[in-house]
Amino acid sequence: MTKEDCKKVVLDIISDIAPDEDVSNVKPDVRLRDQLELDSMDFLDIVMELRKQHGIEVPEADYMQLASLDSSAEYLTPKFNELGK
Amino acid sequence: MPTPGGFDNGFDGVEFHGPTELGLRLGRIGVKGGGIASATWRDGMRHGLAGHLFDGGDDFQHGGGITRAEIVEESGAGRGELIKDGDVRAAKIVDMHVIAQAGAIGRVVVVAEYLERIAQALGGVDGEGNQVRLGIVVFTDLSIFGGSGGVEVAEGRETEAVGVRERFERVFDIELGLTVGIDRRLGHRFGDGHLGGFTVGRAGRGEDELFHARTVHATQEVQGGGDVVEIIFERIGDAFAHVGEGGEVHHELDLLFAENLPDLLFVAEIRRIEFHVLRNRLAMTIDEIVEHDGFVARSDQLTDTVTADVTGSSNNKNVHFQSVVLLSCHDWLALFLLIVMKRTRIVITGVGLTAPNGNSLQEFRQNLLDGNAGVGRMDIRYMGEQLAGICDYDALRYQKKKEVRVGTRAGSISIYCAREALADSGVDFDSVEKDRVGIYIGCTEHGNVETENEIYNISQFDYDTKYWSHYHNPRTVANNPAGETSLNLGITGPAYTIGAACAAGNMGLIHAAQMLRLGEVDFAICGGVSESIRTFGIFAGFKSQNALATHEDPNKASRPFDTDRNGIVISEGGALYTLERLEDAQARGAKIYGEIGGYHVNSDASDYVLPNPTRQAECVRKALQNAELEPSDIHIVNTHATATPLGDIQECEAIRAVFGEGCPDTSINNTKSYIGHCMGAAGALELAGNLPSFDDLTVHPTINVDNLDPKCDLPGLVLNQPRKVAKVDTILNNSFGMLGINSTLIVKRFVP
Repeated sequence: MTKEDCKKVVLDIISDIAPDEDVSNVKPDVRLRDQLELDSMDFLDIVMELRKQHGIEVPEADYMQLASLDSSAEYLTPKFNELGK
Repeated sequence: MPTPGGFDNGFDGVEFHGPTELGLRLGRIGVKGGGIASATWRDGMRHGLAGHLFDGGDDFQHGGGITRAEIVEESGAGRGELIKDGDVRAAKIVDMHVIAQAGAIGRVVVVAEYLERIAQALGGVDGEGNQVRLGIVVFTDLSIFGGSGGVEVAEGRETEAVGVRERFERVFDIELGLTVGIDRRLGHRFGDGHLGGFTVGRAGRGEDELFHARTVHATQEVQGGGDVVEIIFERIGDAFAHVGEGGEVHHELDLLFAENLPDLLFVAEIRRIEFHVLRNRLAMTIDEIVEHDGFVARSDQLTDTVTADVTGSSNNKNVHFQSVVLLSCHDWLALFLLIVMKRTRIVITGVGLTAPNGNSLQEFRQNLLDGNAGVGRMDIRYMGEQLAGICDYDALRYQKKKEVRVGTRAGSISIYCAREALADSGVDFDSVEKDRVGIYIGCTEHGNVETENEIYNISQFDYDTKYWSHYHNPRTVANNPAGETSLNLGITGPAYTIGAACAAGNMGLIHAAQMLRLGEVDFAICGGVSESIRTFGIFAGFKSQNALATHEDPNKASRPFDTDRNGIVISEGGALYTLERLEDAQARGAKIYGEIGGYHVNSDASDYVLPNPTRQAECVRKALQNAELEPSDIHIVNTHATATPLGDIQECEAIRAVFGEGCPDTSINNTKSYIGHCMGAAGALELAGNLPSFDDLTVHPTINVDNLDPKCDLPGLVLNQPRKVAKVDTILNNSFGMLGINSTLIVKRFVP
């Protein structure tokens, strides 16, 4: 999985948990919370969906890695690849 | 136990207890506009008090007295302190001028020693230069007046008071309202026709005898709420009672009330009188009095307590004594508190609803008149297809998609109904003070839907709880529907649910009316909601109970009173109303659907699921009593009947017991025959379905009655076709629930 693929995975999840948001123009290098209406519970949703849909665990200490699309991809892509995805 | 309450201009909660030295506990007093806030007086004044009015009181009798008292006024009225040490006689009132300056003279003024000081402080005008008028004055220890020229007190003989009231008024340059006196030195009457006082006499009597059996129960003395009325007992005349020669207690209450009550009626609506008095004789006297002038009285006469609900009318006004509390306490200290409030009229000004056959009152009503039921089929987890009343309101009209995703169905229904009701009410919601709005939503249950969903969810993950939603708790807390509504509307006042099984819808309205009367809120959104069809448990439960309806035609499945009825159709829905005090509604020119006429709630205390016709009938009767109506005054009885074989018969039994044959103008119907059982929403929705009858003078029928069960054959039943009637002035709505909770709500046509 490439980092671009990974961003798409994260964006798909976000579009589900923030259905009122237009995610087509999310800037990858800007914090998600600065451009979308996301709160801490929503981030827990992202973590939960990664777990449910992809079997990926994000420990609490690493939540900050999900701040932006870029940082998410940086953090998650190796995890996807470890799982052989 | 703090007593809830809240009246503008008065006492907010009063509780008395303490068996030996009759105690008084004032929860919070005088929230707005005057009086004492946060007062506590308990344990017979013998012990330290939890901090408010009388704090640290030691022992009145032996001079411990009030050591510290605070008169605290919320709402900016000010603050006064009454501090003393050792003896109430040494009490001082300080900072009373603060109260005066705040323009809200305390309804209770504890007068101790320093009359002049108080006079100085009060100055006769309030902070805005208005003439000060005291609502209630409590004199403690009138012997002090002797020292200041007021009353001459001498033990053991009748003493003429020297115009305490006059003096007080002159000194303060104020007009006294109700004046209540406490004479420390026993055996003396004061007032002399001027001061409405009460004197505890001991002349010729032993202390023990006089204060015998002063059992006062912890009682919520004040309930129902409402504004304190400026009642001026101009002709309070002679004292309530006084002790004459030989210790004979004289009663002049009848005279007092007979002479003064008619005048009072001009200025007040008073609903309840509660007397805690020293002896039966006085109680009986009071009992007699309330029957004066055609007033209907009801009393529960206890050993030394009489509670009288006084109702009646005069001068074309409904008149009520809301709560007059007189209590006697110490053997040398008799304290009378009179709390007089008017019974506030509460009106319905907006309706928002979603039912299985309509998403607005107009649509719902039309379908009820046209005979259109709204039962469908729904796939229920683990059970397959079941009959259900399903709502199809547009959730996204008032919620974002994310709110729908994160929230609950019950929350969504609540939001829809609340928004619709607000829109219907025409209130300028932006200008409404959000902290003065209450949300009171009745629920059958809450949380089952979300819990079942989560269990199902983790079952897909081998029951690993790390897949359990972090939304589970906010979704399943019992206040969820009200809480979501508060979030959606930005309402910061009290928002909570009322769990009352299938009686809950009525309860939402009843509770809101109470809170409005108490002055806790100025605007209420209330009613009931149910999301029950989203949980398999309720279906499975009723099925196990053999109480789930089946029929090949879903719209014929819910058939109360029909011989072929075979159980309940489970439905979802909601109906929320906006309720306001009449004067508020009128001030903004609101459309008024009807007025809360009366209500009652009681419990069977007999079975988990089986209804109890005796208690149901009792509930209906007491609601009628509360509304000051006779059974024959009721024009529509909307039944609770759910189409269970036994339940319908039992309710009919209860209704027959109350309404019998002598109610030719009473029509009886049932709304569940269209929409099934909307559980927590049932009472509220069914009321809504009948409200338009005030205007169209049509009673919607009970449908699906092909063969009327003879045991359900009540006079006045409206079957299958709407009935035009000559008048609809009253609707009585029954809703009963499991564990034996019964609620009856009466709504009256609004007559200005």
